[in-house]
Amino acid sequence: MEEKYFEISAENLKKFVERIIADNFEVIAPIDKDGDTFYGKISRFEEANLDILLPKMSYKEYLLPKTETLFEYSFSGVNADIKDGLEAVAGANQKRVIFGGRPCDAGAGPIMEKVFNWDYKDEFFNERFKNLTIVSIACEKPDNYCFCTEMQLSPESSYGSDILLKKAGTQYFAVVTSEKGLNLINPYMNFFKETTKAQVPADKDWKKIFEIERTKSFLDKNFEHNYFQDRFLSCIGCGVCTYTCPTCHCFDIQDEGNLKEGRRIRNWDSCQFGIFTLHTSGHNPRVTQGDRYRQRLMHKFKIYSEKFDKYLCVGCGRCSRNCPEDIDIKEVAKDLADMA
Amino acid sequence: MANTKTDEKLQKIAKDLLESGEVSLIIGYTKGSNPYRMRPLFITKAEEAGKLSFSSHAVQDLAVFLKKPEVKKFGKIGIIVKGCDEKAVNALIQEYQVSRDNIKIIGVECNGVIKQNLADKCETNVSESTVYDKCLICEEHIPVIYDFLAESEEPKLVLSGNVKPYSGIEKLESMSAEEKNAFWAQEFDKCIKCYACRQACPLCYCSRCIVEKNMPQWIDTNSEETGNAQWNLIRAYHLSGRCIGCGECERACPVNIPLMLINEKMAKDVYNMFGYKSGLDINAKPVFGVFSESDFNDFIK
Amino acid sequence: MEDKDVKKESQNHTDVKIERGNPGDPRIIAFVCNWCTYSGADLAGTSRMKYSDNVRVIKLPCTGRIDPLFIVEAFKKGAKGVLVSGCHPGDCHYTSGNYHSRRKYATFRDLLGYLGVDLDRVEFSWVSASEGNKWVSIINEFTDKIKSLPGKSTDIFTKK
Repeated sequence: MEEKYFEISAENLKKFVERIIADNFEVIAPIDKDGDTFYGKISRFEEANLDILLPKMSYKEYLLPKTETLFEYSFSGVNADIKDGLEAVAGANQKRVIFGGRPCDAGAGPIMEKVFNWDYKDEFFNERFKNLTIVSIACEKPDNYCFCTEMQLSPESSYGSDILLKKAGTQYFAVVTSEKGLNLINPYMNFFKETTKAQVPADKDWKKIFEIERTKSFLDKNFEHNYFQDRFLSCIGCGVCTYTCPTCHCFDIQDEGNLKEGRRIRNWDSCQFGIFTLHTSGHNPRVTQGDRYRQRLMHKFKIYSEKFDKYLCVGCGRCSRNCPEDIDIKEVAKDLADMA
Repeated sequence: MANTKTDEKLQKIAKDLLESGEVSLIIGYTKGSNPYRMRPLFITKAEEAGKLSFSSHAVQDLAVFLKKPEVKKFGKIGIIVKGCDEKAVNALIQEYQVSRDNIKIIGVECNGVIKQNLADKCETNVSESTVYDKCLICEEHIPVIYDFLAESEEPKLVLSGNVKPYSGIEKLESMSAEEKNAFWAQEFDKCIKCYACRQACPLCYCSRCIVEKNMPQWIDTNSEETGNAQWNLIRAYHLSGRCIGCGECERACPVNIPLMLINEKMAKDVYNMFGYKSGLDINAKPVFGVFSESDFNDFIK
Repeated sequence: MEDKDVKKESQNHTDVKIERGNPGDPRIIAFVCNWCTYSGADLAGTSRMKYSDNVRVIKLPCTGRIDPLFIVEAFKKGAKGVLVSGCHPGDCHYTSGNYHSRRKYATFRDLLGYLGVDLDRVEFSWVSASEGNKWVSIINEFTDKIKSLPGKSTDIFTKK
């Protein structure tokens, strides 16, 4: 779809959000909770914290829940009853809107979509992804951990958003990039005023501090570099970086149940865990935490990009902000680029 | 930022230890990704000692690294510890995970560390309302055991008594079973099973955790009500009577589950029942390694 | 008994259909030690004493072998009550197993209570080989207590 442009005043934006909540949309926005900010359901516009740069967790769980039931079974006598988990997912997210996320979070959607569709088509993911409507707000002030510009996006990129809001003074410009976005605002057109691209303020010239291609070229040549072992001695092997990451998508399939009933589920998994690559024989090809963090870097900046022409990272910087031991991935990627 | 006297002292101790070959690795702090963060630093050469630093943003418990195989292979290790972290070293010695002969404890006097979420909002002032609850009840501003000590020049933490540390415990204790259940159900619902609580804990050193054992699978793998509750219950139980209260689990938790409300409650109960506090005496036997004939028996028919 | 057997047993016991007695009776799983309580329960049986038949007994070598995980497992599998019983202090066949487990259970019970499990659902007792009577009264009292609990008592082990 060709992009469409609208103007909307701050006041009308509030009215618009309240109207869609009244019309039974579940609006997920950054909300203040326990001294931090997380995505959560809002019932009034004021609950949304639109000033915060990024909530602590991404909204990945609406696309890939932390536990998803693939199927359930139960026996009564000799009859087995099997319920496809897909039935429960049908129509999921149809009435759900993510409001007030940032362009980096939005960029993660299409990146994950490629993984879930290159070979096997993952219907669970697709059902959720095709229905979820994403209304992002362009960033005015990225912080020191942000590096979306280096990751082929920008603080004002509309990639992955159905609607991107750009603030200009007391009003917003809405860049509508998809049918889904248009369908969302269509019934409420009285709040919006159509305009042209020329009216929308041009993107600023965001500066890069390193070239990700150089990071990749270092990774291409230096699998066995000492840097990994030395730098990641301070990695404690928790899954915080991967679980708060909007693009990390590894999962683990497990069975739960007994002779009478049970289910097959998939849970989030993390390459930072020691047992992630542990073989049945007891051998572990990634034995140190350096090996494991290297894998994360490799997957993000090399392996994925060789297959899909994009990087598996949107530069949101969550892994750096949330790392208990202060490992800053931007700094690491820059180090690697400098060494290339 | 210039070096403080504490920094200089730490650097000198580290330099001497590495030069004399008494240790082959020093684990300490250095300045982190922004002025309000510190990060762990590993140095093996005396000339790197100048990077060492300490401040009220040094939140990490470096004793956690003593369990890493990659670190263990260095043999003799010097470690910079705050009072709370040092208790973790003691507990590891008590449980035969670390030998006292292989470790040089470089204690640093600490007057409280600033909560990380406040530090990220540029908080620099050490006060009752900015430090962790553990600092308010801290009795080990100077470590219990040390080979070297770097004193602090920072003003002492002043307590007015207006901020009640771990006030949630009393509140919970006075609730009914249903209310407690509702409270924890809500908290555990947030859990994403990233196991940061386990990994950040200096005393969770099992090479294979109970959740990773699947023959049989004791703890449900799902990250829903049941699996989350089982994991959090068993994690807390495995640390009962062992937790030294460094609060790293709670700090590392990306979804802010108040894990210290459980750990502190268990520490309190173990102290009340058995008169034992973890990590204070390297010669004491761990509380569950011994028994007394006159132990608490009221609950048994 | 290996871990996997304990799991299987607690599954079988919570699964088994109650064919006699009152089908509405809440299921109780009793983890008992081989030397004292099991013999005590055996004595109750051979003496033809009558008591609630809703209890399922899982025998282990010693209370020291009864991991708190077993209690969790029993609750997970739908038991309404869990009883742990072994030799009186001083009588342990292995000298000190029950002393060690006493410390563990005192702590574990506290934790369960703190996390919102109704402590009327967990019971601990010392029953010797000669105390068939005590076994009978403990089971009967425990059953009554559990029956008096509200129908759907909350716990952290089951899905809401």
